[in-house]
Amino acid sequence: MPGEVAPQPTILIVEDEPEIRRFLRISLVNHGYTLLETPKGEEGLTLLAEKKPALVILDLGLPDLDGVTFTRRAREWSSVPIIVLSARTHEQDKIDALEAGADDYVTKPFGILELLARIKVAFRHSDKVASSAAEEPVFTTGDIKVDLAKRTVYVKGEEVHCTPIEYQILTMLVKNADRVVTQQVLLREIWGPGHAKQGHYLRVYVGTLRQKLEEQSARPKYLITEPGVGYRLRVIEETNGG
Amino acid sequence: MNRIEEKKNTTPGKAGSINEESGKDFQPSVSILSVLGVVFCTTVAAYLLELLDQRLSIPVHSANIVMPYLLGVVWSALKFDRKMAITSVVLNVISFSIYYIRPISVQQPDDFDYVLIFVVFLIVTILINELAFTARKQAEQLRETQAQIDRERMRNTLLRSVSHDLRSPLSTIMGASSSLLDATGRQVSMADRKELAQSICRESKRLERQVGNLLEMTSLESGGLVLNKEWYALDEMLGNALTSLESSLCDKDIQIEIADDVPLVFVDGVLFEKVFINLIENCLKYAPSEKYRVSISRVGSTVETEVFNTGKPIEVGEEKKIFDKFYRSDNSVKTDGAGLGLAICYSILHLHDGHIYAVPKLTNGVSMKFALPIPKDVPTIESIKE
Repeated sequence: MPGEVAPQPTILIVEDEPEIRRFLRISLVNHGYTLLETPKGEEGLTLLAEKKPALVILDLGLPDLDGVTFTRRAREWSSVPIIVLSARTHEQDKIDALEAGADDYVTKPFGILELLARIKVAFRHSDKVASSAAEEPVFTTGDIKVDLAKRTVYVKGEEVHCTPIEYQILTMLVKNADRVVTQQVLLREIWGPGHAKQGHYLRVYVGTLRQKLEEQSARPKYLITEPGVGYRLRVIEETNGG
Repeated sequence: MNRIEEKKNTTPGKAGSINEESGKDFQPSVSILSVLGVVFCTTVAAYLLELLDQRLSIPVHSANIVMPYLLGVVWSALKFDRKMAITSVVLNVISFSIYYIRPISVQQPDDFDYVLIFVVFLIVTILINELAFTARKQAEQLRETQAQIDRERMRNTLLRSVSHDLRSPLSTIMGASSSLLDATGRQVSMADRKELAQSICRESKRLERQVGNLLEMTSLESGGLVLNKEWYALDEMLGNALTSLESSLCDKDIQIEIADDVPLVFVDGVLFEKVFINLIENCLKYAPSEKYRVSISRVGSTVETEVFNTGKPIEVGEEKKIFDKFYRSDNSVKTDGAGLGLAICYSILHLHDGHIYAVPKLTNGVSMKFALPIPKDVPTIESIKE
């Protein structure tokens, strides 16, 4: 496995399961990352303060400190990207962790490729924030192009008309490309804090948005639903010279 | 087995259990019932009396009149608990004495007759009451035993399926991983190693799915499930299902037809997605190389979804059985799974006031349909302000 050429970022793993730490260690070291590990939440916070890793992988089911508290406490003084690991059917835990400031999540059991992809996205996003570079005015994924300056959306080069709400949803997803955006955040930002429970608003508008952007709205390539949590705009690199 | 079921239906067990409750909770209504019974007996007796005496001119004896009362006493002995039955005896004897001692037409019974009638009534009542009670108790026990047999059978099937369906991927995982271990330092090609790793990966996914199904079934069965209902779009749930099945679907082409007028449905999204997943997974299992079609449309006051494949039709008579827990169709001997997929779908639809069925007597494939009612307050794009 060829390692990354870039300088080796350090990743902190806070996970009580030794077998999971083991396979994470093997794969991540193989991909050129330097690792810090601990099975305990409190120790994780200390390591985070002392060693300042570039990213944290956090298990939500720690015995000593629950992941949401960990995230909240870490966020008081650190903006390190946090990816949480959580069991299926614990959707609320994921939402809580994301609300507390986690960047993304991976559902257990997971494959390493999925986690590696999330790590890359988290680094990309934190680089962007760190350099505070202006958003690129044009965003592209697969056949879709969003011109944020001109407020226009193109599918396969053809302009597509979006309603203001559809456009708002799309731009929020574009700004967080490849990362999950919770329903609550979308509803709060677009309809206001009083509407955080009206999940069906999103279902209706994401539905119409899919009809405009996707080839098959029931088999979306870009606007991915994260069941019970929110939405994710998948970034597909242009492969055939679009 | 059959006999037990038949007996279950004909024993007075059911009435018994109701009476045991009603004896406690509905004392007043039971009393009213016995008073009504006495009135009824008296009326019958009066009619009998008139019939015998005036029409047929047969000398009326108290014994004749006692008969209807005896019937009443027998009836209450059968139906009520002992206290109520004895009360009814007393009521009947009193009514008999009030009514038929005075009238001149009847030969007045002497004290001995009274005592005799009373004692006979009492004995008959207690005997019948006791018999009925025993019968009820036996029926209760029988039902209990039957339930226990059912539970036992369920547990056995569960254990069998768990041990078989969980063990087979586990043995592959163990075998493949130990082969990989053994391969270290030896000349085993990269391709072979990759193949071993792939089978570990594939089998663990299978294991995960089966564990998930078992957990789901248990939580559905236990009834402790709290539904988290919201308005969802069926096509979105279908999309989620297809996304989570991506690795097994590969690039398989599925024809999807969604009508324009399909409204949102009020369901538990996470749970309901499972219906789509299980139905499509079933297609992959039983008709791996056939064509699939999913269509969603409005039918009357319901939204109907059809999952169709061009595979081997379901055999006549099997359409209902396939929804039973742990039922496996004969032509699935080689496929994995515990036979829980459709049972889970059935339970989920049931929880949502919908229904699921296999279209019977189809010759060109397999069609599973499920329907959900459309609530009156279904939100539309017009009802959501921009």
